[in-house]
Amino acid sequence: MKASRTVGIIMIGFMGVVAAAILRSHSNRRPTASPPEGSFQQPTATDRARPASQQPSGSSDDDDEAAYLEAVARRSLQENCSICHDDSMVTQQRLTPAQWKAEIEKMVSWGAALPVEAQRPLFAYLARHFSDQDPLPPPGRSTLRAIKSLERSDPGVPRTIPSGDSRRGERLYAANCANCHGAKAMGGDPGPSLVNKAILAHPDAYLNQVSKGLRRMPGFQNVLTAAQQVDLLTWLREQRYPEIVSSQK
Amino acid sequence: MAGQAARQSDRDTSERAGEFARAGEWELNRRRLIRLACASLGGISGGMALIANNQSFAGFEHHSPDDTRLIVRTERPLNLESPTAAFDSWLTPIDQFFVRSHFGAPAVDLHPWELEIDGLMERPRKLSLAELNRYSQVTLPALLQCSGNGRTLFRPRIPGIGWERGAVGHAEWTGVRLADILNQAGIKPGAAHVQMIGADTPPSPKTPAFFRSIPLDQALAPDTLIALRMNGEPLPVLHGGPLRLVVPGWVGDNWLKWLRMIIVSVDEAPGFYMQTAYRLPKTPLPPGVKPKPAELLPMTWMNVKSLITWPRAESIVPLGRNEVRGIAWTGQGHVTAVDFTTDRESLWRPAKLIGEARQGSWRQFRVDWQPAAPGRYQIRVRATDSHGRVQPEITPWNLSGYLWNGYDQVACLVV
Repeated sequence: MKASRTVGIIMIGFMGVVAAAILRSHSNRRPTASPPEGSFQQPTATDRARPASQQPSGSSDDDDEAAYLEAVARRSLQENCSICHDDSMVTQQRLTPAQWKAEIEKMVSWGAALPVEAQRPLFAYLARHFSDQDPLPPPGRSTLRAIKSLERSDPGVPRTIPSGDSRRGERLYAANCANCHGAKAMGGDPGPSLVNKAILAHPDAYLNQVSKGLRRMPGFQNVLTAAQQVDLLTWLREQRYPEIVSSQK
Repeated sequence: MAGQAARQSDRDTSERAGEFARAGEWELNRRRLIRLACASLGGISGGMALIANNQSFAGFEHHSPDDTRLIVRTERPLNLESPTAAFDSWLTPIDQFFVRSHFGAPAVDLHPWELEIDGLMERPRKLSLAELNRYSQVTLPALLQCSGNGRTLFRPRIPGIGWERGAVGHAEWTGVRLADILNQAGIKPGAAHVQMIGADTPPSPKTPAFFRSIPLDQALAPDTLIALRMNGEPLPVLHGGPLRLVVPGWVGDNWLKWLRMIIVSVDEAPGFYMQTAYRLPKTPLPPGVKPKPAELLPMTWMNVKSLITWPRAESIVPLGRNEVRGIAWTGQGHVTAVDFTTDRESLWRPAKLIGEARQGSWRQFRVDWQPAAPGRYQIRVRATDSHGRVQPEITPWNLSGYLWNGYDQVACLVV
């Protein structure tokens, strides 16, 4: 079980590298501003592994570099920031470089699953595309009924909750989920908290996500049987917050 | 997204003129509009002039006055703003009432709901919903406003949800007086604050929980409720159901949703959401000046504010007699006056206040307005409350963009 999970994670990581390489080679060659200065981490091993450009600015290598960094930033938003909130939480803001820097630092200190090497490119991307000088786009409009959200539960619509064995679920959780979501399912790196989450009241959405995976989470359809996924759900639904925190004190 | 419909600024002028003419909602002025649009477009040559003219009309044609759709700020977690149409009635309909949370609405039906009462209590207890329903129930109307309502109007800009005018609503809340529960459980000497925590879990152990408190005095106020119902319906999950705190007159961050635990304490709740966020400096500080923690106070009572609900922003109104309508509210006390003016006159005129003054509720107002000539107008209102506080033209800037209450201004085109 554990071995196949590791293979799954490695494959996801490999696909990410391939995707980034494709994005890089297909990028538009348009001039880009150099990233604003910040005090983020120094270039990492990955950065240093790429040859530093010797070309004067405006060359196609520089364009490639800038496009690559933009792709890294967009991927960070989709794969990392979106674990906890949708993109619009970020892209509705219009901020100065100093404010963007402070926001990223705050989110990292709050446990954002943002790799250090992605922080600088993300900062440059946000400061460039969502500056305090840029106009705000008009917001979306929707009726409450039309919004697809797990948070919105329709009262009086009974849902059948499949029932499993929570003790088996607890063991499965420790072996398969705790590494990312934390020992008590209150969140870890990169998995968010699962306790009391709205998806636990939507078995179809839960089973779909566990089977197929989402963002940085691999699919578990070849790791956990449907019955085991239900065991897990049963255990997760039994966890109580805030008791789970207050009892630790 | 639905917002695409309004994203027209990059379309060419002829297309816009066509839409101008097609706008079915504006039957009243349709013919005049076509004439006006044609005349304006026909009379201008040169690309820049065309663009400038186009911008001067931007927005005036595509706002339906009856658009009750919510404004989507973020979809996950759900942060939804009320449209102006939601404020036409005394009570805001639930499906048009703004929605705000930090971590998203939790699943609330995983176990039978219990409210734990603990801390400096003679008889700590856990109450089920059935037990709460057996307490004497109180129903009262009260206005709920997010502290960040109007944040986008501050300059320099401030990070946070980009609320404009609609992070506010007025509902009828039914529930149990918090005082009844605390008194029955017996408050021990030394108690000074009531700490509260809801069922919504932060995403990471490094993310601060939404742990809040209100002073005991306010917790014992006769209108501070643990609400079970909103506008007569069981409290919807998006609005904190099954249980939320209601503190009429106080800013929304105190109205804790999905209430699970109450801890009566000597001290305020610890942590970011009580000790750092939702605080204002005692005196306003200019942008860039970092307030000292000791200078910051938790937000409690709202400030005085008014909103124009009719005419709608960026709408077209006929030359002739019009009625300007709106709502006004304050925190402690009640609204005693609303004044109206436009950018074409210098005098403020009093509006007529409707109904009874009531702390914690909003008050509707109306005023006759007969514009002297066609053209673009900026109409303005400002409210005054029973403590003599008057809405300022511009709210002093603050670090988090809280409690904007500058004059409410609405642009409209008189034709």
